[in-house]
Amino acid sequence: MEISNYMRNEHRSCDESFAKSEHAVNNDDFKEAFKHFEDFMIETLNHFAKEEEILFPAFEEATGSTEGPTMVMCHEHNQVRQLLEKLKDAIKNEDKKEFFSVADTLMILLQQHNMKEEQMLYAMCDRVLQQQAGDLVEKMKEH
Amino acid sequence: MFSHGLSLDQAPPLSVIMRFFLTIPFFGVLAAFGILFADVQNLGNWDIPQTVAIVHLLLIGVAAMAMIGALFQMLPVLAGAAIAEPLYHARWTHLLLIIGTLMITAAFYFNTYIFMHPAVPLLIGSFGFIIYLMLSKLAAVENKTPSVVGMMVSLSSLGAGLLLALILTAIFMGADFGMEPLQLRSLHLRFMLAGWIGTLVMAVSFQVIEMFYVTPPYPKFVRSFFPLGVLFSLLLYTIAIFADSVIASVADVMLALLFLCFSLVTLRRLMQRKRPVADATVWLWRTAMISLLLSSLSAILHIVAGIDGAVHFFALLFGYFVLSVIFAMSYKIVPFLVWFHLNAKGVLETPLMGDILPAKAATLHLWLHWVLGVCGLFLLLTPYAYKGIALLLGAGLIIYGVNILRALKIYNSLKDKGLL
Ligand SMILES: [Fe+2]
Ligand SMILES: [Fe+2]
Repeated sequence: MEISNYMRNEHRSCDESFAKSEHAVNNDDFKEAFKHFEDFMIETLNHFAKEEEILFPAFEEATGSTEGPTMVMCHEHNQVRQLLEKLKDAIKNEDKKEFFSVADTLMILLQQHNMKEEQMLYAMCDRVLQQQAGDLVEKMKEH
Repeated sequence: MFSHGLSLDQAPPLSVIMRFFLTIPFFGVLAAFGILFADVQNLGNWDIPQTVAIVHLLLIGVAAMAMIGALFQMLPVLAGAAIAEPLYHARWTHLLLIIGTLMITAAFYFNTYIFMHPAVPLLIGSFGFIIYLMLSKLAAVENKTPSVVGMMVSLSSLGAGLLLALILTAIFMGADFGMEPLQLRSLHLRFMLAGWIGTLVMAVSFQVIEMFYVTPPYPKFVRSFFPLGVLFSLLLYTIAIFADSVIASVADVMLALLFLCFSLVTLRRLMQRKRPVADATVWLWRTAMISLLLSSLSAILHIVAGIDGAVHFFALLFGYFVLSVIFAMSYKIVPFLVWFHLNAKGVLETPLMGDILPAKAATLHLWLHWVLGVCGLFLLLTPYAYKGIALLLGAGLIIYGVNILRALKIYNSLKDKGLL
């Protein structure tokens, strides 16, 4: 459960920053919004990097598959990355309508992505990476 | 080691889901016509064949279609296992369901019972296969979350409800099993409304309320025990109905209380959501949960205080609850899937959800849906309010159909422009 718990907490923490950013845009405070958005973007990209550079390679090595679930997850990371850029532009242009339109799409994409990871991929990681779980989490914390 | 079909990339083709969703307005409008042309005195009586026909148009033609479409999409995400050849299975089950629904409702509405014989195998065959398909996938899930358990309870109840329907039809055609049709009907409707639809909405809510609106998760107690509580109450009712009517009433009250608490928790979660914007879907969920709350209260009033009229409000509010959930779900799922499939095809400048299903279009439907709810209140004054209900129901479903079709048109116009 070590990996699951650690990664799940990161997902929740990203959600918090994002919600703060939405609140600021809703109050037309784009400066505040940008601050929270930056937190969200850094946290999210960092989380993706931990998965792509540490967790997924370890999983792929343990299961011997590189074309399975991890590949799909990486593809969705790229979809999220595109939307993050769009969201940044919307805040810079102080375009509230565009912001919420991108935000809605991004949020559902990210949430269903997280759901798949939490329900399956992390659960499998917990099992196949049982012995190295402690080390992996340490490595990700340092990342 | 884990190669038994585990992959996270099993989004079925968009047409699998859309074909089911597009049937919703078709049957919804048919039901509206059914109400419009029915004798208003009959509509207050839930055992008259015309009313039975309208109820089945809405529950099979609208609710079941929505469920099957959504499950084809959600199952791979929930279960981590692909449905083999989803398009093929979607095609034939969809077709059989349409013909079966038309036949069985025509049989009831027009008293043409000759349609009943072919309708039964069509419906049992298509539903039976869907239940088998979904249940077998869910049973294989190792990480059985409350949503997975809830869906298994829901699909099993659907199976039980179908079996009861089969026995009822046989009795109707002259077979004698030594069972009381009235008791079987009571079982059939409880397994369908509480077991199948109610638990399904619970299972889906546990997943999507948190996900779409960023809320705290449902309390662990609710997630772990409510779907099983429904199942337990249904089984208790089943035993009690043949033995002890007091215990049967207790089981009924337990069912109503479970849904009453569930609606309160959901309303609370929607208040606690971290996303600030309350779009049409948030209001549709609220509308759904308030209807469910009032519907459960009406059921309790009927059982405990013996108020006969409360049955109508239980049934009508339950229907309003189901419709509200379907609209709330569709208005997130459809634009997201259109965006997701276009983006995955590498279409540059994929329109966003807000362009695929404009907020204004959803809001217009929301207001009309509320007017429909208000019109229902006029039933307290005159049964002729059913005429208004028919018109508003039909109009709402036409708007829904237009909204869904618009999204599909955007998909079709861009789907070949992808780079991948
Ligand atoms: Fe990820
Ligand atoms: Fe993740």
